[in-house]
Amino acid sequence: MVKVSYQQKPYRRILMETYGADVYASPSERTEYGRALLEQSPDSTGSLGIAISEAVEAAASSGGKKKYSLGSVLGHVLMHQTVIGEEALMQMDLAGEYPDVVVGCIGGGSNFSGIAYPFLRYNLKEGKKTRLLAVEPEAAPSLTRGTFAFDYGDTAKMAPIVKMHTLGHGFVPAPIHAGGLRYHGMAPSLCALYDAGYIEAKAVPQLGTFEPAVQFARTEGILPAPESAHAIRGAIDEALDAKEKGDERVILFNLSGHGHFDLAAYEAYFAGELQDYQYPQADVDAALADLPEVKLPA
Amino acid sequence: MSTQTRFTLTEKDLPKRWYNINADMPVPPNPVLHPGTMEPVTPDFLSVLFPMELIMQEISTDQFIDIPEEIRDVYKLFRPTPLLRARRLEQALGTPAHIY
Repeated sequence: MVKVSYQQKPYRRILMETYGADVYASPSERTEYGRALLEQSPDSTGSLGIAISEAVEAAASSGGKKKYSLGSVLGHVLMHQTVIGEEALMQMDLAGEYPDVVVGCIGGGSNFSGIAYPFLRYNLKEGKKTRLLAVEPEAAPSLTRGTFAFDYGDTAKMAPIVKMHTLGHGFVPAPIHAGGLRYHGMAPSLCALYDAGYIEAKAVPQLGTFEPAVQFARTEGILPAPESAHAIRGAIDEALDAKEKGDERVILFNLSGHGHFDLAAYEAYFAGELQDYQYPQADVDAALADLPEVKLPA
Repeated sequence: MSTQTRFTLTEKDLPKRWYNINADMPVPPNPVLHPGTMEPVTPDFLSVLFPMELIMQEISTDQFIDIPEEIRDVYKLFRPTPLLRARRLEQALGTPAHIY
């Protein structure tokens, strides 16, 4: 578990432990890479890229006893999430409507693809025109500001290289509360579709997600996770745009998780202690210099 | 006008297949490269990290892949999840849009 999340969100750790997991803060003393990093920077708060490196090292050095299970980015993970969109297709049918726009938050791309890809299938195969809108944090804007290039999936350069919109494998994110959205890259299929114009994306600031999250909680009764609050921001912006234009737009968004483990973040928001983080352009540019040199066979 | 808020499926509606975008990608896929050699990875390399079944799913171009019964049994503990129309949010925003 990324150290900053391990510290910010102890109840998530305890939940995992309840289900039988051993949970370690990354960077940890348990891998060569983690030890080397801690020697260099003992106060490192970690990143998803570093945690992936440690997990990959643990699997690769286990003599086949351990495997690496990841929560996003790769095709099979996205595919498993399509159960969400397959259900939503049937449910929209029950409602007698079809979405004009599907909205989801994105970090690695799995929950967004899970709801959006089944609707994309109807765009591609049956000429439907549903817009697919991915919403990411301004603090980790891989799709909207990252470079579409081959890059490592992890910081230690042990994981496979894929072509994706990337902020660079050395990316260390600002400590925004949407921990699930702090990855440097993005699912390759989603990036290719975004690059070709089949998917839209926008980046929103942290404070701009807590305000609609609170409005959603007060109207609908559900307290959303900071990640899902990005989708709510996107859905509300669509609804306000529809209001301005006077159209009965049908908006479908994925509420990917509740925020019961994120109450400290809500408390900080109410106390006026949260801030926005704009990812600096200099860092976007610097990441380019560190991309792997890839020569593809003709 | 209907005022229904919850749209719920039953256990028998639980999807039996996942949708695989690989089958319908309108743009050609890019290779996945080995971090050391920069050459396209082989299933053998990936098998150090991932179970072979997941690797086969990763490279499959079948449009749908059956969800194993063991997984569907676990899904049944909490799926299908409900679809809700956010009518109270629509009202608060004063929007003619329908938010689900």
